[in-house]
Amino acid sequence: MPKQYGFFINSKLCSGCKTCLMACKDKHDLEVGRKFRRVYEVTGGAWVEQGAAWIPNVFAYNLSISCNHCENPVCVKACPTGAHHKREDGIVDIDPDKCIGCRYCAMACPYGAPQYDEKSGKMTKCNFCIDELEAGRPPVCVAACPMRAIHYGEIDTLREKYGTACDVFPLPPSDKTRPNLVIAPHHNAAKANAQSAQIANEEEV
Amino acid sequence: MHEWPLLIFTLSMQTAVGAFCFIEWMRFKDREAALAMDFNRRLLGVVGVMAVGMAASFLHLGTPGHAFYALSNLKSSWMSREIFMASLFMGSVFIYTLIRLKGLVLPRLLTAKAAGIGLIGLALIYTMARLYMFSTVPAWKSWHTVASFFLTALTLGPLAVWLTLSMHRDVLSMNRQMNLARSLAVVGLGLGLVVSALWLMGLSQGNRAAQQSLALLKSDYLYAVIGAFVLKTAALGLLLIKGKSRYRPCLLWVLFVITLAAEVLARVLFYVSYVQLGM
Repeated sequence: MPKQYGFFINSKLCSGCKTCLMACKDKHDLEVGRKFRRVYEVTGGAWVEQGAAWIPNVFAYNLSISCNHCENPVCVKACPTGAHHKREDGIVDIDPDKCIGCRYCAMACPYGAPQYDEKSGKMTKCNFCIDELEAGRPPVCVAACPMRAIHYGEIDTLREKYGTACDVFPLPPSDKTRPNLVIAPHHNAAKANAQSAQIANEEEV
Repeated sequence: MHEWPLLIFTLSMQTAVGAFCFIEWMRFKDREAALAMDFNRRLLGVVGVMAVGMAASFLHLGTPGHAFYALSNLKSSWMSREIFMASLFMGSVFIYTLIRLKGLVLPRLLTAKAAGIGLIGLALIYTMARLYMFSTVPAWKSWHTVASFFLTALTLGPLAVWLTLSMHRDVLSMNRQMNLARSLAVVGLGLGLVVSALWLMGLSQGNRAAQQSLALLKSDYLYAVIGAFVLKTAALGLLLIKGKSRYRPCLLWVLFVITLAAEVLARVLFYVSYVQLGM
């Protein structure tokens, strides 16, 4: 058993098709509104003057994000009941028997991972598809991605293979939560931090 | 806005802390007046306000039946600590009020107990503020949160007690106490205006999330921002009226309603300013 599971997201490959999101919604039977995995469409840029002409200098990329099962999970710290907990394999999960649905974890998490289930009155989140892992299969988002842009595994192995980058717009600085996430940033990601990038599908995510 | 239960809870508990401290300070300074004005029954009012707040807090929970689990993570959760302190404060005030009403313990011991409960109340307000101070939410991770929560207690607590005192038949014997309530409310409202203005200025110089909070307040909630400032200024104006007319219950009712409306608006603005550095 890995001591810490993590995700690798190859933003260079991601086409923004949202198959990962749909597979996750299907697997966890999520109604409209709840999304354990979200695909952020980042856009930015402006017209720039070049000689006598104005040309568009714009950029765009996609980033698929779920719970990052952080090393320092602020949701676990914030949870008043202890329902949020970190398992031995590093997966951050919620014990529904203890959850009181106070939504404090959602206020604390800067990734929007914990989401409220109106029906049960409790918080829910990505649990890394624990049942799939136990059956020897990958999480459904990994299995469904047609671009093979999402990988999973022991975080140390992922970092050895793909590096340690994870501070990519629109993700918050990683120093507080230390997410178990590795990103291969799109070549436009550097522009997003420097210029005024925005999330184009704000209402969707 | 989904946080109405939290708004009612925070305002009620802060008012209760302010009122308890004010009542007990007045009792400490003038025991005879306390007897004449029946302070012990006013403590029941404090318990009532807290009961309203606690009941409202349950409405925020998706599974209220599991509420007792909320005390399970005192080690790291500010919410656990807040609920613990709120329960401790409410329980202490309730027992204290019963002892006072039954006259069971020596007054000197009770003074020490009242001071201890007052400190628990102040600690409760601090935990309430810390609960919201996430490092990724610049609008909340600010000294403004702590200051505004304490100033609410300083403003609404004494004002609520003053309002109940003003309806007593021996009201004119309470001039000194009323002047103290008035002074505290003036300080609370005056500083509240300054703190709110500094908060908005701080947001304008903050990071991306702070700017988004400010943009939200300036667009969708502009009337609420103006309303909060106008109402607080109007309340300050009423407090500064000279002469005996300021002790009339009807004027005090107007003053209290305006101040409460201003505090509610200010708290709405606090909750809606939540914008995270992140997603």
